[in-house]
Amino acid sequence: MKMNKRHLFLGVFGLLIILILCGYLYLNQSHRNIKDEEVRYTLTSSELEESFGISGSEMRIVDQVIQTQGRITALDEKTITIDKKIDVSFMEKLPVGLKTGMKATIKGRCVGYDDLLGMVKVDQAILIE
Amino acid sequence: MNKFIILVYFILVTGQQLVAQKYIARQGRIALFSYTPVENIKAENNQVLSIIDLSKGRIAVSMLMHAFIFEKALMREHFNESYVESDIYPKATFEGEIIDFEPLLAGEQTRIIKGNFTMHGVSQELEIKAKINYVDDGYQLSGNFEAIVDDYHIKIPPLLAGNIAKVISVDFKFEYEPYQE
Repeated sequence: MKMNKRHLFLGVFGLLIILILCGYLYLNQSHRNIKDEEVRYTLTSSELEESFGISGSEMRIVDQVIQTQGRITALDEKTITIDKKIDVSFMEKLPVGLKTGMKATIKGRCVGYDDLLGMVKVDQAILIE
Repeated sequence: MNKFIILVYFILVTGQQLVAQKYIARQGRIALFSYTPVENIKAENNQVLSIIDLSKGRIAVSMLMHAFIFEKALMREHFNESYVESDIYPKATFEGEIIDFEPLLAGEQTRIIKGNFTMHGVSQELEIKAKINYVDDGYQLSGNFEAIVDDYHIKIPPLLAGNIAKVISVDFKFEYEPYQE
């Protein structure tokens, strides 16, 4: 009888620990790591821009990892603009040699389309070429 | 010949002044704070776009909801999927007027910005106090206001009602530079 009670206590205690652990892991899920995620869509800058005009395709592309390329039309420390259409912000500072007019291929998360400037926004990007 | 040079100079100078009628901030920062006894939640968006049109004294702000960064991944998921429904309402905007704005006043001026803030598909008229600082042919604009969650038809499940404040504090900071279209 004593033994049984002890078993029951251990069982309940163990279950409680597992529940707390599950709860903790659920509440503290790790953030996405865009750098290591696989590219979902590879598009040209024009295709990327146009995908926001087609109803339905926008929902598919937002928050997905994309790869795109084009000419750099503007840049500063951590952002570049590709073909005056795509606004890309990088996780780290860009290499010094990068200049406007150069071709660039980037991978990042598509955030959405901003119609104030008519630009697609990509963040958490890395420079591939 | 001299007259010609003066004319060219005049066109160049006035031309430059015309160009700098619009100012843009591409990496504006908006931070949301929710304080409750249970937990404090903070979210930040560093990719907020804003344009000031000096000729009309108007200001426009546009932010993508998916660009908000949270401390915890689950908070971000709840925010985008359940609260602001980012797939249906991908952006929040503000359009308004800076009352009595003096673009050429050196240093800091505190002004009221009156306009419409739209989030989650609901527009609210707001009056926001902001500090505007004119430095090196650019403007810094900063301030904060409070947004009532209920006003924007955002529903918080009863189970989480204690974790999320009914009034969200919103901080903003923009650095504008001349914009050439």
